[in-house]
Amino acid sequence: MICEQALWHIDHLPAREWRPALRAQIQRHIAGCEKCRQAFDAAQAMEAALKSLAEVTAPAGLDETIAIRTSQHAAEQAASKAAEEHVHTRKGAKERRAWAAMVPGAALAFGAQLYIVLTSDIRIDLASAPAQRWLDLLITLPQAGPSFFVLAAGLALFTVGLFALPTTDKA
Amino acid sequence: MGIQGEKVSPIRAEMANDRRTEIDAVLAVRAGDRNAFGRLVALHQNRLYSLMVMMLRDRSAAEHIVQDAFVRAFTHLHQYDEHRPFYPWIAAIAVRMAQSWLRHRARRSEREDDAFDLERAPSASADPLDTLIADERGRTLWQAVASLPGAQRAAVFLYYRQDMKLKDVATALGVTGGTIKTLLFRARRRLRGLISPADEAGVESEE
Repeated sequence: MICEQALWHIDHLPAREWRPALRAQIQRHIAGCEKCRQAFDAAQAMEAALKSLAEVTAPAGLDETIAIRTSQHAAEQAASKAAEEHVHTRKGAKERRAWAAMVPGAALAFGAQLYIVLTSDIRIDLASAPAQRWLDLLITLPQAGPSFFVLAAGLALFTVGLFALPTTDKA
Repeated sequence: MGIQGEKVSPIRAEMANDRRTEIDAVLAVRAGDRNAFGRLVALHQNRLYSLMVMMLRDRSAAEHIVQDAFVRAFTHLHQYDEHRPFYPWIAAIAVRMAQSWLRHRARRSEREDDAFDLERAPSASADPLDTLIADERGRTLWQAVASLPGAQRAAVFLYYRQDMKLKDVATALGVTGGTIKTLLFRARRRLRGLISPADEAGVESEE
């Protein structure tokens, strides 16, 4: 190893990063070169000085302040989680109530409709225009008697349940 | 005793012990024992505070950032890999906060006064450590390092004083290992002029 190389390594890399082979080379070189030996000693002295830099003690009570803040944060997180779960539970209950109205409502309406179709004398002229068909249906259905009211009640229950369904969360 | 019957130095034994304490504390906190976090604070608060004082040269700001860093570490402990040492991880958190604080202060200084304000700008000579470091040589050395540019200062302190590995220093400062080597090289060159041979010799004679 020549001086230029040894000085480059001494200057550019902390000694503790030298690989064993490089360290051995440098040690061999400085054993016979006073200039490089002085540079090496100066670098070592600098590193020792930096290693001895004072370290200051944290102020008294810092650990207690941190403990208080982390406790507060944990309590806030727990409260936030409980609030979210409460909202989720309420939303779930609302959803269940809505379905509890929709399903029987749909069943009633369907059942009543089927009964009317199978047992009553009401007939709609299928050849007429769709608008006319609906009008005829509206006029003649009440003639089906109690079944009509069951159908209406079923439809109403279904509609109430549909509107009661909770919507998706807004941001 | 270590592997192959070697004696383990007291320092290495203490470090191994600290590492076990760290891992146990982290696992305990994750299991729900938040008081265990206090063990991590006790292990690392002095080192972290020293680093922040060196970076910020403002004790009050250093104290706040250390608090904030530990609280952030607590809230993000699930992201920490317990197979790696804890200190480089929390140092990285604190360094980012410190850099943000320094940027904010620099912007505030620019807005409030275009001219360089000697009384308000941080200065190595108006150092808060006069009351913390009694030894004059220690203060001289500290002031020399404190006068380095921010990144060099942090790199020197973490690598030499706090004995961190190069890659851990790189992680803490958010740069590559090559950048750390460059920072250390530039820092040593600047310090050559600032640290007198007497200061270096003084350290050697103590050893």
